[in-house]
Amino acid sequence: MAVIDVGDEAPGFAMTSHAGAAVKLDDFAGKYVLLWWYPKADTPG
Amino acid sequence: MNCVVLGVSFDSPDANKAFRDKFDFPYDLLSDTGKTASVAYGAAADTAAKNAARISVLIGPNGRIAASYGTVKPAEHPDQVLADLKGLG
Repeated sequence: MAVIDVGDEAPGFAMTSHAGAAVKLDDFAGKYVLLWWYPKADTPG
Repeated sequence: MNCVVLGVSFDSPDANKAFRDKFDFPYDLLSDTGKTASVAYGAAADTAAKNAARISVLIGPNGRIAASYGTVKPAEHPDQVLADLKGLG
């Protein structure tokens, strides 16, 4: 398993937010987007 | 600074809502229950993974990966990303 390479085209995604809204990469065209993954909700640091 | 911050895990939207409310996070949390985005970005080896790895990825305004961070240390990570954003202009 390797983290995606710098310079690669960002894979498109469509996910559901905590509020139930559909969120996709295309929503943020022209902006920086920081995606951070966490193993499980409500786990420390 | 024009940067959107999104958390991602395999949790349900309800679990993420509870997590967000508890800690009062100001950013959205996304459910990758199908795990496809996590696999595509390298946060999971495959869709059989039980949990996502603690990585993060910065996508640039041009739609390309501007920076990526494997196994982040939560306490140091925000400063690292801010420094990179400043460097990218």
